[in-house]
Amino acid sequence: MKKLRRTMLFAPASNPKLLFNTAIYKPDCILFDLEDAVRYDEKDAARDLLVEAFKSIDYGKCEVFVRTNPLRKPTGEKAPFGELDIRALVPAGMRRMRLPMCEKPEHIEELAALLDEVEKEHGIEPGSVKVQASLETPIGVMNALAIAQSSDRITSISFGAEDFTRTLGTDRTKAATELFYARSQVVMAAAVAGVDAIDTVWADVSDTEGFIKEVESAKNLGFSGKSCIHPSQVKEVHNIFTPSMAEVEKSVEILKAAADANIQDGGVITVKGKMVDIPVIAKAERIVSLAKGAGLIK
Amino acid sequence: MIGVCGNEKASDALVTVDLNTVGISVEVISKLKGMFGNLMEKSVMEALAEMEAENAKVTVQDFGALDFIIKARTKTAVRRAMAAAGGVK
Repeated sequence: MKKLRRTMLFAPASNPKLLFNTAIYKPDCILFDLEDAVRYDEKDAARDLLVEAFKSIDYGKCEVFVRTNPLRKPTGEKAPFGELDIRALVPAGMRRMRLPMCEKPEHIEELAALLDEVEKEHGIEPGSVKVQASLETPIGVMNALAIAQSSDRITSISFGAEDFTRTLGTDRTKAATELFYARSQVVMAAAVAGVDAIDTVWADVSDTEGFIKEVESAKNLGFSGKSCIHPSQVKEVHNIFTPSMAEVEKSVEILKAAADANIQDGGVITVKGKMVDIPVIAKAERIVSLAKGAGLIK
Repeated sequence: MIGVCGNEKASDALVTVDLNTVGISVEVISKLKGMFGNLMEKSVMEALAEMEAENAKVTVQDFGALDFIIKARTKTAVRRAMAAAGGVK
């Protein structure tokens, strides 16, 4: 069964209340933020809060990610907080993280080496900490495939449109034409590497109609899910990324017919007048996997 | 050698640590002190032990914080007090 990452709900780690109540909105993933949402002079306090939260709270089935601070500044110098975040949080229980502003495979290789060291130091199984690389600049997007294939720790790549448009030298529009190429590139790289692709946030929480259009667009492009900045966005994303019962029933029927006809490895049949071959079977399998993950069927 | 961390907001606590003292003392100011004062003090003592702080006067102004929040706030306040004293823990 495929691990669902339809929603990644941001929560600033500097807000104590959000550390224990974000899970009640039932996102597939929580993304506790130590980076942009936390003031420079509160980085230490947010890190300590998150360390103690990991030691105390059972988040159940919710997959918990941390957006740490970056290891490097844009200039290439060592950044002040990234390594401290990782050295504190891995022993406390962090097993999923998002590395911001990832631009080249070397960024992941440096991170993987640090994680290797910290895991060894604390007797944690090697490779336990999985990484989502956040692609937020034109160079990061251009290197998407190399980044996605740079380490076994990579389970997903995400796209960040705000920094992307800033560094591209343009503005973000609701039509999102300026993002089309980049989003397509990220999705294709993820598909080739066999990892999930997570789409960017939608900042205008009051514009639900625009948000729904963008989520539909993300789903159609091939993203696995979307980063969310408000609990109200979780339900909308789940509605769009979860297959309908009609789709699920049709897919189950296709898989049963394919199994009965023994064509999973090749061959063609018709189901209710429509051709079914390997690509159709693969799509049906994906829908059934999503449905199982979402609890629609067992 | 004083460090402060936290906020006067619901579900949070404002913790002040003064390392310029001898021994450990903890003062809890909370509407819930009667019910949970001992647990709050326990969180502070655990944080001090983990930080290896042997001399600290700690004041916790509680606004409904869970134990792990008081512990985290205490650790950060100790770290800030140490930094103010010239040694970073």
